[in-house]
Amino acid sequence: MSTGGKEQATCAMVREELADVCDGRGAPALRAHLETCVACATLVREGRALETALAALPAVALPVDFEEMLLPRLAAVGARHARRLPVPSWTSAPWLRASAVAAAAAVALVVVAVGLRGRPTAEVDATVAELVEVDVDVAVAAAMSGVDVRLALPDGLEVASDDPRLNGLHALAWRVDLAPGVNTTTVVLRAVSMGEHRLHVVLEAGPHRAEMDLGVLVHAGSAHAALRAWSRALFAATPRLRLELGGAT
Amino acid sequence: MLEGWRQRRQVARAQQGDAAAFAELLRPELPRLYRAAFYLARDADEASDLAQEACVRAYQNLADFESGRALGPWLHRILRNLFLDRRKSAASRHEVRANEEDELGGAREAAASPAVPSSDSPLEVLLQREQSAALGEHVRALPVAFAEVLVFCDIQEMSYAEVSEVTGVPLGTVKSRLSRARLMLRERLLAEPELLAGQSRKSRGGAS
Repeated sequence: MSTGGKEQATCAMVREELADVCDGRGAPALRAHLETCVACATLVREGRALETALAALPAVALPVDFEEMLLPRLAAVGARHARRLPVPSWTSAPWLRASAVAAAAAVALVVVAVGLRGRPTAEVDATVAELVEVDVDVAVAAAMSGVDVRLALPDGLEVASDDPRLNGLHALAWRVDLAPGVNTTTVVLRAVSMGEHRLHVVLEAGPHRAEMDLGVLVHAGSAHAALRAWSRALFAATPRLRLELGGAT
Repeated sequence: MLEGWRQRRQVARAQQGDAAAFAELLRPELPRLYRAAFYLARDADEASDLAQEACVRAYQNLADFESGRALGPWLHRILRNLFLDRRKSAASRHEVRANEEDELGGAREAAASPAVPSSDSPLEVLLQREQSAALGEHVRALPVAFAEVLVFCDIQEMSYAEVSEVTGVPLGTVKSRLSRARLMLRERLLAEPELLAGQSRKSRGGAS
């Protein structure tokens, strides 16, 4: 009688813990019980058969018009997201400075502009990093207001910023008032693919316009390690990029 | 890690309003998401509607998504909550109720029936022969708290930890509900063997 009661209690436990027992995990006592109790052994086999049959239920094809119907709805949400963002272009520069660049390599882009005319020349030493600070230095002899600076990023580069509204952007534009001397704006960029990337910088002031196409960020060597090391510069060498916009001749 | 980079970039673009970037993130997840919706919902129309709405809500709430994590479980969670909200507002008959204990009581009595030979039971034979659509119907007919663990654990083959994340139910409860859900499903099948038998006759007829 007591043995029967104990058996029944064990049968009940097998049921309580059927998922574990089916996985072959339950308590050793329960597994041993299966050796002697045909009803429980059958139950567990049926449980596994159910599991197998459920996993094998037919794949259901996505309705053919599913994406066609979904895309306009997503576009409507996207438009709302876009409206919530402040327009990042043509604003003053402070937001460009991102803080998450502790170990970023720095690239100084020195623009010596005299009246913003002339041919740019670029000299690239080297840099390999995931996060790269680019200092856009614009040196002018006299104060100038309303100079537009546009920075076009190639596919392999994007803006790195703590501000989700800016993070991942592929182009930046801002307007600065220049004081006599060197005016610096720092932009933090993230390399998202290997290879040589070209930064395209445009400066415009009234009728004056200068464009620079700069080869920077030549990834070499252990490229994959570069992607694994988030926010860590790979090469210790301080890279330097010097651009001279010669001109007032 | 490369995937992580791509995902972060896509998420950032989507947050800036690039719906195509979000669609690209979603695309690989859609078949599985729809499959879950299909076995939770009553029919294909409801499933499609649920999955669509889940995608739209995911995009609306993209700021809540922890970039770098897997998108699938997050989408399943949204789908599941949406499904429950709709069910609750439609009817409460699928909610977990005390009388489900009675159903299980019945199942316990059935277990006390005489031992059967250790060869394949009739149910095993049926399950091996039929990956029946009727099985999906029986899952849908269960109270939703049990149906969902069968859908996520057994049909979608998610880990217990993932199911716990998706449902917000503690891991131990996921396992105990899965145990009970399998027992309930088994009882339903045993109570209606003619359904499975009928299916199998029909398919045999179709094959001849």
